[in-house]
Amino acid sequence: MAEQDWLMNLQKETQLSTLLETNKFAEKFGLTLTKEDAEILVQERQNELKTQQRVEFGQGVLEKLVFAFSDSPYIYQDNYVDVLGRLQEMFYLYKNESMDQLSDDELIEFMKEKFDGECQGDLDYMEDTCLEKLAKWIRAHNHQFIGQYMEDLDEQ
Amino acid sequence: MNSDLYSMEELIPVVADLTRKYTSNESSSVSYETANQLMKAVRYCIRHLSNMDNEMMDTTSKLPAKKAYELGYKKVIEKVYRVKERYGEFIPTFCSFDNLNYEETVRKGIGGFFTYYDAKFDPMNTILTLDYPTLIPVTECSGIDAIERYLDYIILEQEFLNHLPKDYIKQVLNAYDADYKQQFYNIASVVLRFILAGAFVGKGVAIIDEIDLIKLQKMWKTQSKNQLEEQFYKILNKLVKQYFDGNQELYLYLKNDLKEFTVEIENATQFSGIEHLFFIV
Repeated sequence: MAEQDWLMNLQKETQLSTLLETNKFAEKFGLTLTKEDAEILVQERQNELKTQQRVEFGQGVLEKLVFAFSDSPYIYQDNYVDVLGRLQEMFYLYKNESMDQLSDDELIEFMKEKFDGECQGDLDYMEDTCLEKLAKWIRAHNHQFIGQYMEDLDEQ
Repeated sequence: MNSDLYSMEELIPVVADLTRKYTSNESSSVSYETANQLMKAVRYCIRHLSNMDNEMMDTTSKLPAKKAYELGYKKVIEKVYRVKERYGEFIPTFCSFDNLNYEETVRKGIGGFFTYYDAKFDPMNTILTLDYPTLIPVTECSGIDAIERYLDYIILEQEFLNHLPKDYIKQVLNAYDADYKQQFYNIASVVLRFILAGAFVGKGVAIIDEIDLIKLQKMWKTQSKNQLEEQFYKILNKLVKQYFDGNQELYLYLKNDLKEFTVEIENATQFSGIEHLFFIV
C-alpha cells in the first residue's frame, strides 16, 4: 500500500509539474497558475474522470486546453482556473456524449472555435447549445469525424 | 500461462500501451468499458502463452508482462491462421443436408468470423452466436479458442455423417421432422439416435418403423437409465472402432448426446411413448 501511495504521489507530482510548465506559454497572455491552482485542477481531473467513468493513462488534457485557450479574449487571470476547470469537465463529458468518435484535438478545436465565436466566452451557453448539438449529430450519424465535422455540420 | 500471475500494476503499462494504439494516440482517455475490454485483451493473449515459452527463461523469474503479452499475442495470431487454414481445407467437403441453420452458421458465420475478428483489441470476442448446437456446447472458451473448438466438433460430426449415404441421412431427417431444414437442432444427434435404435432391433442403417418402435418400447421399458446408457456406449464404441478406426475424439463427441437421449427415453417410456423421439408430427 505504501508503494502504491508513493506511485500515486509521483504521478500527481508529475502532473502538477507538467501543468505548471504551461505557465511559460500562458504568461505571454497574462495567465499563470499557482501551485495551489494546479493542485485544484489536477484534483478536479481525478473527480471528473471518476464521474464520467473514464480512464486516462497519460498526463491528461489540461495541457492541451491551456495551449488551445490561452489566447482567448474571454479568459483572463481572474477566471483562468475556473474556466480551465469547466473546460476540462465539459471535455470529458462530451468525449462520452460523442461516443469517442472525436479525437481530443477535434473536440478541443471545436470547443475553442465556439467559445471564442458564437458563445462569446459563455461556457453554459456553449455546453447547452453547441456541444449538445454536436453530440446529438454524432449520435444520430455515428460518423467517423476526424477532419470532417466542420463541413458536415455546416451543411445542416 | 495464467494471466493472474501478473498484478494490476504489472499489466497497466501494457494496457496503457495498447490503449494508445487503440486510439491511434488521438485520445488521452477512454471509457471504463474500453479500458476493461483492453485489459481483457491483454489477459487473453497472456493466457495463450504456453508454459514452454516460460521455461525458456530463467525458471526463477517469470517473463515481464509486456514480453508475455507480445508472445501471447503472437500465439493468438498463429492460432487464427492455423484455424483459418483448417477451415479452408474443411469447408469444400462440408454438407449441411439442407438445414439452413447448419449452413449459415458453418459456411457464412465462421467464414465471416475471420473477416471481422479483432485479435489485437478484442480477441476474446467470439462475434458469432454459433446458433447451430454442437453435441458438446462451446461455452468455456471465447474468441478464436471458441471457434477452434467449435470447428473441431463440426469436423468430427461431419466425419461421422459423411460415412453414411447422403440419401439415408436426408431420409432419416425427413422421417424425423418434415421441417428439419428450418430447425435448430443438431443433425448428427438425430442420425446417431436412429442408428443406435436400429442397432437395438438389428436393423443397421435403415429407417425404423412402427413395428420397430413397439419392440424398442418393450425393450427399453425394462431397462434403467444407466443400463441403457451402458448399452448405447458399447454400441457406439463398436461402431467407432469398426468404421472410424477407433477415433476416440469422435467417440467422446458423439457419446455426449447419449446421456440426454437416455433421459428422454426414460421419460418417453413412462409417459408419452417413444415414437416422439423419432418422429415429430
